[in-house]
Amino acid sequence: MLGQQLFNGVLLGATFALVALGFNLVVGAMDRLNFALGETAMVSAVVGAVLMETGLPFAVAFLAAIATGGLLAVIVYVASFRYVSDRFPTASILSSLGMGLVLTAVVVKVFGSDQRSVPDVLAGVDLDLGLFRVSGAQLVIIVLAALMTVGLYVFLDRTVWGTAIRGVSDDPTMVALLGVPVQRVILLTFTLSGVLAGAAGLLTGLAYHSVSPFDGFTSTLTALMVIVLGGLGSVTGGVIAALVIGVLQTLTVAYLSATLRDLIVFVLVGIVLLVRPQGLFGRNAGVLERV
Amino acid sequence: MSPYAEAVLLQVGINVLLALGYWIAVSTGKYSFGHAAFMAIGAYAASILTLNFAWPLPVAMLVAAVVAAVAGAVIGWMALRLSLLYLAIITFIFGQLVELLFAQWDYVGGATGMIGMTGTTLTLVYSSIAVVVVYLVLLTRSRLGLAYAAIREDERAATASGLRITRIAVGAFAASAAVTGVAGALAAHQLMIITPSLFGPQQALLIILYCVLGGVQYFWGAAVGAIVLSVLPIWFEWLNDWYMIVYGLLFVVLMIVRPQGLIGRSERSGGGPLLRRLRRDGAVAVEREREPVG
Amino acid sequence: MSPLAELLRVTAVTKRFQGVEALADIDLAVQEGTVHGVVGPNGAGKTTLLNVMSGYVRPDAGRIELAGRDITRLTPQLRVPLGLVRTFQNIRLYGGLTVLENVLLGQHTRARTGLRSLWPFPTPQERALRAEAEAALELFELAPYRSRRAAELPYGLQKQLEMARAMAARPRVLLLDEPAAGMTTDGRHALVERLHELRGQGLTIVVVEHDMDVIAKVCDHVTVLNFGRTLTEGPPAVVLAGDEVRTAYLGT
Repeated sequence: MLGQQLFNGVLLGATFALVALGFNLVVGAMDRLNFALGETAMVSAVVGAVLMETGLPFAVAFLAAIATGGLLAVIVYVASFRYVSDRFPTASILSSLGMGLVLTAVVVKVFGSDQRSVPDVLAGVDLDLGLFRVSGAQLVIIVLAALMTVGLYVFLDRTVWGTAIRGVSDDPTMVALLGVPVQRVILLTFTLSGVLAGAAGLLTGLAYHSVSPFDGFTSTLTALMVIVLGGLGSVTGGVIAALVIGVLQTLTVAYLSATLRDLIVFVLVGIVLLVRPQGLFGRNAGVLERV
Repeated sequence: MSPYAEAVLLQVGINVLLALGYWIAVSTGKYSFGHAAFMAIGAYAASILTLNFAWPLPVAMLVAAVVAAVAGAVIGWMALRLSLLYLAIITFIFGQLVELLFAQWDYVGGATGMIGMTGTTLTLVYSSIAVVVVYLVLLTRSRLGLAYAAIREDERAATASGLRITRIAVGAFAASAAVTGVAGALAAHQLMIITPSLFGPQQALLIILYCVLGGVQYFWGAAVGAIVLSVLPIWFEWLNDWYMIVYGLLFVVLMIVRPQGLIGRSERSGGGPLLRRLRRDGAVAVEREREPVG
Repeated sequence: MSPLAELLRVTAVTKRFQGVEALADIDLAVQEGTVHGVVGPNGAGKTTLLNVMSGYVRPDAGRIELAGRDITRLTPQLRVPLGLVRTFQNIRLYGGLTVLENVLLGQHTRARTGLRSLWPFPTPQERALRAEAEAALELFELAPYRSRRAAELPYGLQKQLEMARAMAARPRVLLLDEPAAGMTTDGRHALVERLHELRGQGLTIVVVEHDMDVIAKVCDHVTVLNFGRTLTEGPPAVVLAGDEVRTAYLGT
């Protein structure tokens, strides 16, 4: 039983990790938060769900979801980040919050405010691994989430563009002077973050078998809590924190009560903010001491 | 006066209070992303007192202000020590937390909320506004107000002048929360029904929009913004259905074109976005080398 | 002549940034009422030292003492009411605020700035502070610009304002970060005279500077840094004529 709960928790955490990574990428690139990322995930999930309902295979729906995510992220970049003056750091964040609300409102207008169900995938599959069982959907989720996370790591570490992204995150002036096309790298970063969010959205929808237009806020909230715990801007921290929160949530629901689920995470976040505000692996730049 | 006109004036008045309250925090340069939480706290606190203990509304409002102020001080202290990004994150999380807590608290009706609060009058609303305006006039002419402006302008310079930034910013934040709480209390007793979902991210965005549209430089600019946005849906009835989309887009456009709001001095910005970014990041890079805080 | 008291003392201060030693075991003593210069090539650690003295950087080892009191752990804003005030090399004025407001803010630690300051009728203390601010504007030739935004001022006047604001805090020790940077020859003359005046009034000054001329004319004592270490120190005439400075700056 415990084994199953742990696995479920890890699964959940994996989906959280994807969104949190999306947030962290943008933090790295521009030192800003894209508050529309949660809604980006939600819209992608809706697109994927609609396609699956028309009978298209999951693979197609998944690709559509990540494409939607990437596209929306670029739109949000242009609307909220590209042309907003740097002199007002909060302006982009506020603007992206506005975009998020617009996205939610549009989905409600077009698809109604009800939840949509997400059809099951690989329904026949049911692996028994002793400590826990893995259903078809769960298999798909964990494999895809793991692939994307590892893929991101490899991309950032080994490829030219990935290195460029890390460079812009580290020292944009230097990197620009070295001839790196900063704006294009930022665009790529946003696209990547959107792709991750799109994947997270559909996979989460698969996990819960439903997606609601108001999921955006929940996703954003969870992702932000992951970031606080893991450290602003840290990829490793984000993954670890996401898994911790996923497991914590699942265990709380299983052994304590459903209502305590969110509260426990809030308390954890509160403690972290008091005791070690920069989280597990946070950059110092996010934390300033003042009196 | 017709009941319709009265309802409009009440709504406008409450929104003006929200805008003025938010302005107090913004005048120190700190933007909260979950201010609706303080509105909720004030609304519920006052409603509990009037419904369950039969306290008169004006007294309940004062208590609402105090409770909201305490919440503001706590959250403010946690968040204002850290960067603006963390402020956004923490206030957003707090906003969701409050909504969630009220939805799960049976004493206040959980998700169904509370019903039956009455008592908001024009006198109450507009005298509250008058009090806040007097406070703001005195504030902007005082050394405390000057300190707020200094923190907004340049925090590093402010520390060099001896300003205890966290202390001052938390005070402003608490005051801001208090006024927002009062507005929440008044809103509850005018709407007669409150549910946790009323105080979610949409409301938070609205509060910010009221304040920022008018202009960040003068507090009365914020009031003007609130008035305009309150009246707009009445003049343009079709707006009602689409108003979240329109307001969201308005936000986006505003942040590009005039992030400091419509009223007030315009900031000169030179060069294209990349050049500005390079300059800013150059300065940041230099700062990082020279003055990383240990 | 009685021996001068030591007002500011730096003891065994070390600071590392990501493995690089910006300051290594620095000792420095500033006598009250003197002007103490800190020179050295770029990267020598002068600015880091100033940041450590003013509290913007916490040292990995060592102590800072002001009038015998250990202030190493104090944040910058808490050092100001104790009398330790600094200026910045890239001027940090409140650009959007007026010249007068900038000076008034310099007085922050000496004024009533809490909720009580909302009282609309000025107290005698406040009136005195305002008069003092006006006098400072006169002294620094800023009076005609009192209502102008600080960002609109020409560079030379901005430097004046930075100094006026620092002085408004009534410091016991003034830390100047490259005050001559970007100045014209006339500006430099004026700066030297100003520093002489201030020293004459009993102010203790620490000057981080590149301009050897200013250092020579103004300082009683000079410390030369290189690669985070003290190369040599002493009266300017001796130090500046010595080989160490030439080697440090020119590498020969």
